[in-house]
Amino acid sequence: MITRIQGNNNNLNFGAHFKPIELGDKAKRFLDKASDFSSIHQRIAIGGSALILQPLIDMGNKDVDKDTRRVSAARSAAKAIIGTITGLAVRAGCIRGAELKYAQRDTAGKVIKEAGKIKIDPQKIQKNFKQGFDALKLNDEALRDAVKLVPSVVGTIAALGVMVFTNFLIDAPVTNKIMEKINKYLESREKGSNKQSVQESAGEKNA
Amino acid sequence: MPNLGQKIVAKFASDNAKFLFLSAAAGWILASAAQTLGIAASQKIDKEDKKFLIPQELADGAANIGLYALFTVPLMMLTERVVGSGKFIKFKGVAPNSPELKNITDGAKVIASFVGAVASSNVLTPIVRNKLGTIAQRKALRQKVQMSDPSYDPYYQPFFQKSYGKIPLKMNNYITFTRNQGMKI
Repeated sequence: MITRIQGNNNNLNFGAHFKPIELGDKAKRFLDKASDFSSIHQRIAIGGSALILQPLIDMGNKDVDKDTRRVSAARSAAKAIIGTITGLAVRAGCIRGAELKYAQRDTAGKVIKEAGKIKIDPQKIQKNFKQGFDALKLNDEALRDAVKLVPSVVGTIAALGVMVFTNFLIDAPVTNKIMEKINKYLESREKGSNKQSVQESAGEKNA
Repeated sequence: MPNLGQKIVAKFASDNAKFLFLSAAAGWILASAAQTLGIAASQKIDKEDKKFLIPQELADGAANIGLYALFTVPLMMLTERVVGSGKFIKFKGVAPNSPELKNITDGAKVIASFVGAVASSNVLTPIVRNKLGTIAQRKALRQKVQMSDPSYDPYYQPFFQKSYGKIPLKMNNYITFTRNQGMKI
């Protein structure tokens, strides 16, 4: 017996039953702020998580022996520490430099600050990058947002240039030194725990 | 006509998420190049070891950037669709297609680029690198064993059969052994 199914079964409209998730003001404010995040925020996020996650992954690598595991974890930690410190310092310095370049100044040539932050002169930026912005044909609001981000973009690009040298001169040699120190510390801790376990087992035997 | 510098800065300033994604990739390329050149220029590292370490460092950098792009670009595109369309996620008091929603979408894309960078460079790459490193290490070890000089044991006698286990060494036995007709020296 053939039963007839009511309705149109050819078009399945899932959208009609799906209700979008509504997020509150906190999420809205956070994402609004995130649109202005710079490469400094990015470096903190990547570097901070690298310091925790990468050594843990290296320590859990069962394909290599104990010593190799310890050395690779020490190297990952050292790379994360030095990479983050130099990366942050260079980026912060270069972005600060770009902010000073496009800062609003009073008649005496002194930089004007607002709530501790350098006040950017949007007209200076628009004048400097006029042809670039004109080619994009942005509306007023988009243009205002883009102009606000120019010091961060210019500073980050300059920082990439500076890091060509700091990678060689600071990161590579200091990473090796820090790695050796971390490795020695981990080694001494391992030896200490081994001694303790031997003493404990000897104590159990004597008992 | 805008010059290239103006064009690049204006373009990146109007799309912060894309800029942060590309600048992180550029940073990793530079870091990888520095590490590779550091190994190549180092006088402490043996020439033979350099043949192995330089390709390994290049492969490490390529894997890092490749995984970063493979993971982050789709994540950013998905975020833009999910947040920007307003069909899946809505924000209180934000109208669809409004400049405010565009700003929120840009922020969500920035967060997606951070998540992509953290997940790919701090989780996926170390796992892949460790696996590839183990394979490369084993291959190098095998090659070293094959390339090493053939070992020579001056005491090795291929046709000598252990007999001391069966017959105790006594003077009588020794005399019998020396008088053995089958013995050829």
